[in-house]
Amino acid sequence: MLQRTLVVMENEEVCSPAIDYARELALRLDAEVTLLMVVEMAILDRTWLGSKRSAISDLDDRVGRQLAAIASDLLKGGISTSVALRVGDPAQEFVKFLAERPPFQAVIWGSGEHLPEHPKRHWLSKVADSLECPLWTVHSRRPPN
Amino acid sequence: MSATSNPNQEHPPGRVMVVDDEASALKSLRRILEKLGHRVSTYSDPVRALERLEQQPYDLLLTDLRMPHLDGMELLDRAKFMYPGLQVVIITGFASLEGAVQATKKGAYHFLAKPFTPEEVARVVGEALEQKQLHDQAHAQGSAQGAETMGPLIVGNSAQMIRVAQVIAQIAPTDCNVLIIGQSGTGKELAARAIHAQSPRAGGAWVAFNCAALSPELMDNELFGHEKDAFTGASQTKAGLLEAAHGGTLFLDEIGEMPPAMQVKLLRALQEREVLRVGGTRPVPVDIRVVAATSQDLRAEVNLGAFRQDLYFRLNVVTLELPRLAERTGDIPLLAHFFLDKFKAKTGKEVLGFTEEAMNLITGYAYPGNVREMMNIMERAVAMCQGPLIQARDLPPDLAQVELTAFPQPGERAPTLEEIERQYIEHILKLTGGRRIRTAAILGIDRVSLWRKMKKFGLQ
Repeated sequence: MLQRTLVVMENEEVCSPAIDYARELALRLDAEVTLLMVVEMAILDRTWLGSKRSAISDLDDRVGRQLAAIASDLLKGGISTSVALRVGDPAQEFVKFLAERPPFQAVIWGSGEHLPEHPKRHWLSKVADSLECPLWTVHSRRPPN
Repeated sequence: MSATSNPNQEHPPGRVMVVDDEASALKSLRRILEKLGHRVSTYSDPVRALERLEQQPYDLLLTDLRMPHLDGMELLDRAKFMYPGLQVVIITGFASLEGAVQATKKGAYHFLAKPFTPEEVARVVGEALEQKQLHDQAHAQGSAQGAETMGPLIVGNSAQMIRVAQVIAQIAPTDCNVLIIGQSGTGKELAARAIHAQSPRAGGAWVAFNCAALSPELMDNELFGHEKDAFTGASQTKAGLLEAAHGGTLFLDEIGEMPPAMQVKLLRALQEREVLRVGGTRPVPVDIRVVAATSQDLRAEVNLGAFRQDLYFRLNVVTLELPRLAERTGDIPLLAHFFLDKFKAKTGKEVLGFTEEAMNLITGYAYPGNVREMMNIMERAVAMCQGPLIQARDLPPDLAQVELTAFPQPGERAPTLEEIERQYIEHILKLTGGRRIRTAAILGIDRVSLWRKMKKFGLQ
C-alpha cells in the first residue's frame, strides 16, 4: 500500500507543529512526504517574465534552502521526502501540481494553525472540495476545561 | 428419559443466558444446562437481560419469543447488534413456530419447540456453542491472516459497519464484480477478502494486486504472464495473476491508477473470459471474479477520460463504500481494545487496558490515516508500555499536543441541530464511561430513547 502525504505551504511561511505532525503521521503510516510551497505572484505571460525573473530566482534560492532544511530533517528520520515550489495563482498552481502527481492520501496545511483570515475565502478552502483526500489543519490542543 | 448420558460431552461449556417469562421453563433449562457444565444466567425480564448483555458478553442466548415489554425477536436484534458472533436459540410454543422460523432467518441459530426434552436442549445448545467456537476461531484466524493489514475481517458495532457487513453478506454469493470505494486505511482489502471468504469461490485462489505499484510493462507481465522467449530474459513460460486467480477472486487495488493500455487488456480479458500471455498467440481461458478498489472518484476519472467507461461499468456492478474512521467514532474504543489484544498477544506483554487519559486521547483523535493509522498507534503504544495499562505517554506525542481539523473549517457552516445532539450525547457518554442509565439521567431522557438515539447516530 502506497501512502503519500502532502504538506502545502504558502508565501514562505512554515508552521512547525504542522511539520512535526506530518513527520509523526508519515512514520506511523510509512508514508512519503511531499513539501509544496506555493508563492502568490501575478504573472501575466509566462514566456516573458521580465522584471519578475530576478525575483523568482531569489525566491527559488530562498525557498529551496528553507524546504531543504525541513526535508533534511525528515530524511534523517528515515522518511522519503520530496520538495516543490510553485509560483503564480495559488489555487491554480496547487490544482495543477496535484494533477501532475499520483494521488495523495492526506493533505496538511503547513503555513499556520488555521487558514489566514482573508477578506474572501482562502484559496485552499476554495479548492478543498475538489480534493480526493482529507485536508487537515494542525493546531495546538486546547487545555481541558 | 435419562440425563445420565451426556450428548453434549464433546461440546465446550459456555456462558449461557436464558430469558423466559415462564418461571418453570427457566428452572428446567437452568437444571439441564448446568448439568451439562454450562454457566447459566436466567432472566424473566428481557429488559434486564438486555442490560446485563450490555455489561457482559455471553456465548449463547436462549430466549422465549413471546414476552411482555420486549419480545424475543427484538431481543435477538439488539443482542446481535451488540455481539454479531453471539449464538441465539429461540424457545417457542407451537403457536409461534412461524415467528421462530422468521427468527432463524434473522440470524438465530435454531429454535427449540416447547415442550422440549433435555436431549434436544443438549443437542441444540451444544451445536450452537460449537458454531460459536468455529466463529471465534475464524475470527482469530482472520486476525492472524490480516496481521499485515488490519486484523479481522470486520471490527465494529457502529451502524455503518453493520451495514457494510450486511452488504458484503448480500453480494458475496452473487459472483458479480464489486467496486470498493474508501479512503486509504479504511480496510478495502479486508472487505474484499471478506467477499471472497463468504463467496462460493472461497476454496479457490485469492490474488491481490496493487495497480499503483508497478510500471505498465511490469504490470503487463505480472497480470497476463508471458510465453517462453517472449522477450530477453523470458527463459520460461510464466502464468500471470489472472491465470493464477482462476476459479477464485482477483483483487485489484488502486484500480484508478491502471494505465490506459492495461485497462484495454483487462477489459478484453473480462469480456472474453480469457487471457493472452505476452508473446502468446493462444488465449488461455480464465474464470475469475474481480473485486476492485479505489480511493479516487472513479466516476470523475471516467468523465475526464482518464478511465475507460466500459471497464468502469464492468467492474462497478455493485459498489461498496467504506466509511472513514472519523465517521464511526463509536467504534474507536472497540478497535483500540481489539488492537491491544492483537499486539499484546504478538509481543507477549501483559497489558490489561488503557488509563482514562490515554483513552480520552485515543477517542479524541481524528485519524486521517483511518484504521491503519490506529493500528500503528496501538502497536507503538503496546511496545512502549511499561506497566499494566497504556498511558498517555505511550502514545505518539502529537495526540496530546495537537488537534486536527478537517475542512470545511468550523464557522464556515453552522452545524445542524442533529449534529449538535449527536456530539452532546457522545460527550455525556464519554463522561459517564459509557454507562447508559447515568447518561440517560443526565440527558433527561429515558433509556429507550437514549438507545434509539445511539442507534440512529451510530454511537454503539
